Amino acid sequence: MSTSTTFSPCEISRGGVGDTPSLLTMIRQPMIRKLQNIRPRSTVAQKQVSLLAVICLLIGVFSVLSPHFLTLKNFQTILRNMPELGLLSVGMSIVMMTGGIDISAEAALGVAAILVGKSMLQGDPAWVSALIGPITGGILGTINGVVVAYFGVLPIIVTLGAMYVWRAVIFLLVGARWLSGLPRTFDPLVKTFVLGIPIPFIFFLLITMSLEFLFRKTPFGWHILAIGNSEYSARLAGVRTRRVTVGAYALLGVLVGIAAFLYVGKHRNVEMTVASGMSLEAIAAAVIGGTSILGGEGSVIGCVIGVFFIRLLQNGLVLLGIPSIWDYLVLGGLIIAAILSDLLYKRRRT
Amino acid sequence: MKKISKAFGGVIALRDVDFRLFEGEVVGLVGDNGAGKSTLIKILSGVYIPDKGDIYIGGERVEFRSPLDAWKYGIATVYQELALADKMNVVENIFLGHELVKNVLGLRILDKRRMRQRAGELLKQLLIELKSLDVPVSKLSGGQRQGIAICRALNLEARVICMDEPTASMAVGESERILDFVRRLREQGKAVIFISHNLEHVFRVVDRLVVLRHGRVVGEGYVEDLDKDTVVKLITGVLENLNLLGEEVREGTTGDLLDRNGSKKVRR
Repeated sequence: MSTSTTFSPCEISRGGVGDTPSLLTMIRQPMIRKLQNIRPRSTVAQKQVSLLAVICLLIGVFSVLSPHFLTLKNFQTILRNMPELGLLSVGMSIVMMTGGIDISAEAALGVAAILVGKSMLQGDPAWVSALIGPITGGILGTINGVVVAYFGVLPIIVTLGAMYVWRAVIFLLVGARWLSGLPRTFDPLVKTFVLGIPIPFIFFLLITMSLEFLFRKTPFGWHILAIGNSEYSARLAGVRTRRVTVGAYALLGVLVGIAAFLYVGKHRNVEMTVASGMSLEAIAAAVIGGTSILGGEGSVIGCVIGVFFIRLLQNGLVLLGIPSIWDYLVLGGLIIAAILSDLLYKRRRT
Repeated sequence: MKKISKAFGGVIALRDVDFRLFEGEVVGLVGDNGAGKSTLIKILSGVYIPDKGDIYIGGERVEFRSPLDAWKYGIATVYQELALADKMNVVENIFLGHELVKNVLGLRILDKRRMRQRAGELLKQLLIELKSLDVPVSKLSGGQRQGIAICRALNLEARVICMDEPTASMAVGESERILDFVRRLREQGKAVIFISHNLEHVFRVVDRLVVLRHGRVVGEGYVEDLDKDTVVKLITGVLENLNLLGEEVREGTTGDLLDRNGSKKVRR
C-alpha cells in the first residue's frame, strides 16, 4: 500500500520547486492514505457494502412506484418468504466456499418435505415429523458429499444427476398427486409473530448466526476455505479434506431438511414441483452476498442480505404488476451479473 | 525406507530405493528433474502410498496413509509447491490443519491470539519481516511465501524435517538465513532432508549426500569425501555408480532413525 510521490506535469510547471514536494502533494498524500484505510479490508466486505447500497436504492425506487410497498405488512411478507431460501443459501455458500456447488438442494427439499408431510398425515408425534426433515436432508447431502469427496467427480455433475434422482424419488413417493390437507400441528410455530417478526425468520437468523460463529471461530471454517483455495494444498497441510467436504454437503442437507419442515408447516400441502428453481435462487443469494463462485472466500452472514435482496426484488416486481415470468429473467440476469462482477473484479486485481 | 518403488501409470518414479536418515543429520537429496526426489519425499510424508517397500522408524515398521499420519510420527515437510492457501492470511496458513484451539464449553474454538503470537515468534526466528500478518499470502514475495511454508513445518515440532527446494525462490540474504536455520535444526538433534538444485547450498549445509537418477540411488557418501564435479557426473550419468559408505553401514542400519555413530544401532 505505498502511495507514489510522482508529480503531475502541471504541478511541476506551476510550482517549479525542483525536488521538494509541492504543497498540493503534501496535503494529498495523507488524504489518500485515509481513504485507503476507510475502504473495507476484505473483498467480501466490499461486496456487502455495495449490496447494501443497492438495497437502499431499490427500497427507494419501489416506495416511489408503489404505495403498498413501504408498509409493515409488506415487509412482514418479505420476512416470511425468506427462511426456506435463506437456509438453503447459507448451506449453499458453505458448499461453494469449498469450491463445490449443489444443484440438487431443491429436489432434496422436495423429498424431505414429502416425507415430513406423510409423517404428519400418519399422525406421528410432532417431534418425529419435525426430525424427519433434517435427517432426510442430512442423508441425501451426505450421499452427494461422499461421491464428490471420495470419487472425485465434479460437484456440478454429481448434484445435477442427484437432482433428477431425487425428483424421481418424489414421484415414486406421491405419484402425480399432491399431499394436501395436512394437520395444523405446526401453526403456532410457523405462523406466530414476535414483536412483529415471524418466528421462522427468527429461527433462520439464529441458525445463521450460530453457523457464522462455527465458521469464523472454529477450525472447520479455515478448513472449508483452505479446500476452496486448493484441495491438494489443504491436504498437504494436514486438513482431512474428504471428511470436511462431506461435512459441508451434509450440513447443507440438514439445513435443506429444516427448510422442508418450515415449508410444510407453513403451506400444509406439498406439490410435486415443490421448491423448483430454489437451488439457483440460493446460489444467486450466496454469490450476491459475497461468496465467490470459485470457492475459497465468502460469507455466511452475507447470505441474509443476499436473500433479502432477492425477495425484495421479487416482491417489488409483483407490486408493480409485472408478470411473474419476468421474475425468471431478472433472477437469471442477476446471477450472471453477480458472477461476472465477481470474476471481473478478480481479474482487475491480479 | 527400504526398497521403495512407486510408479505413476507407466512411468516408474522410484525403483527399489533405500534411504536412511539419522538424528542430528542433514542429508542432501540431489538429482536431475524427474529423478524422483520429490516423489521420495512425498512418500515419506504420507502424500503418496508406495507400491512396494516399507518405512521404518527406530526399527518399527510404519504405514502412512495421509500427511497427518506422517506428522504424528514427527515428520514435517516443506513442499516444493509450498501448499499454501493463497486467499488466506499468514497466520491461517502457518497453522492450517494444526490450529491452536481452546476448549470453550466443549467446543474447539480457534485461539487466534495465541496463534498470532506464535506466528510472530516463528517468523522472527527465520528473520522474515512482514508488514502485516493479515495480508493474503498471494500478496507476498516468493521468498516470504517460502518462509511461511517453512514456519508451518517448524511449528509442528517435528523430529524429521523434509525441505523440498527451500531456497528456490529466495534472495541471497534470505537463503543464507535458511541455511543457517538448517544448521540450527541439526544442533537441536533433528534430522533434515534437504533437496536442492543448488549444489553450492547443498555442499554448505549437508552432512551426507544421496544422488538419485531415473528413480534409483546412484551415489551416496559423506560430503567430505565428495566434490561437486563427482556429484554432477553422478547426476548426469557420466559416472554410473558410487557408494562411499561401505557395505557395513549399508547393511547394518537400513531404515532406522539412529544416532549417526551407530550407538543405538539396531541390527535387523
